[in-house]
Amino acid sequence: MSDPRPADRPAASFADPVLLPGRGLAELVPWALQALALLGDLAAFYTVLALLFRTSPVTLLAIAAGFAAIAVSVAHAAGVLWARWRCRDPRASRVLLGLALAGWLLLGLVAFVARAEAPRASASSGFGSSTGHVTTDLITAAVFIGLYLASGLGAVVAAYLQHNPLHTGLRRAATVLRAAVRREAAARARLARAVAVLEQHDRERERELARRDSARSIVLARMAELQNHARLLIAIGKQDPGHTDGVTGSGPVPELPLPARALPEGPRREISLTKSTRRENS
Amino acid sequence: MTAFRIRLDRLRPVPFGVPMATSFVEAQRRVEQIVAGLLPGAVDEVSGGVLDPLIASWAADWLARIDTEHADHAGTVESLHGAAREKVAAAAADHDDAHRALQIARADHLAARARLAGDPATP
Repeated sequence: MSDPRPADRPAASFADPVLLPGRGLAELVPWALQALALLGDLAAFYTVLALLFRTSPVTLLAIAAGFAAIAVSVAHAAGVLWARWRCRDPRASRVLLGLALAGWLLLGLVAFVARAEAPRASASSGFGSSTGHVTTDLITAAVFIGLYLASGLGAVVAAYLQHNPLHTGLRRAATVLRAAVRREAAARARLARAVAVLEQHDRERERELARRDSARSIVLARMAELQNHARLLIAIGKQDPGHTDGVTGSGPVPELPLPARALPEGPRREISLTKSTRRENS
Repeated sequence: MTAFRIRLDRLRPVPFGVPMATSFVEAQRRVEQIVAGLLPGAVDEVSGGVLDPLIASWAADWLARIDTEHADHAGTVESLHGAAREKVAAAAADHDDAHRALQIARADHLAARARLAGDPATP
């Protein structure tokens, strides 16, 4: 696993400013290729298992899917461990890296031997088809192992190139930041609405006082109306100009109300980020 | 068949058991009756305010009822004001929490960005 490099080459590190804007859709390409490799491994394992086991296709498919998933997972883990080991990650383990590679190779080797040694007559379809006269079991087994190695190495290389915990951490931090911004914006809006309602009720007190004063003015006006009405009735009854002046001249003249004044806005409540407690107590 | 229409616009205390108020129309009618009874010989040019105390008593009744209703309204306003303060307190606490989370998320994002950029000052 030695990786000789020129003396002026910087030490390997996960730090990579090129990844600051992210990889974009290009990040999906290796995963799509690995998905294709997984399908290839699935088909290859299925043909091998079909030679070995006489069981239902569903069972064979389930076992083959398990083998393919294990093969791709182990290859991916090997690529990740390799990348961590190269970047001096303390969590990297050469032992685990060796075990992963060994397990991956062993799985392929076992499948290769099984495919090569299995009776041709038991082949049902795919790589193991016995309909061809030129194709031998060894050649089909070689094709299988070639596909297995290619897809596995592809998974290793893709994991090695893609794995970057710092980039993954930045993406997670960006996701958390976006969620925090949305939550803060919603909370700020709710606070602004609540403060506006409170200010409305502040002004409602002033309005209620104004309404009471207006109602009292109406009563006083009605009182003056009745008192003047009584005087006019007396003057009408007396039918005497001297009495009319004397009686009606003493009647109350209510003060005409001024136009309703605009309610004071009052001090605006600041929507502060850090002084909510003081704002609440004010 | 009698149709009942109930209108509830707010919660309010049970009214006191005071006598019914004299309506303005009824007061007007009583003034006319009394003046008719006084005329023509019971008044002169200086007795125009003979009914003023009576009318003032009706007005005092009406003013007292306005003040009572104002007290009820004030209670309702205070109740709504208290509920609004409660919502402000809850919203402020929620906003403070969200703001602190945002500050932490911003710091984490900046740190993650600096680490990926290879800033040697970042742990």
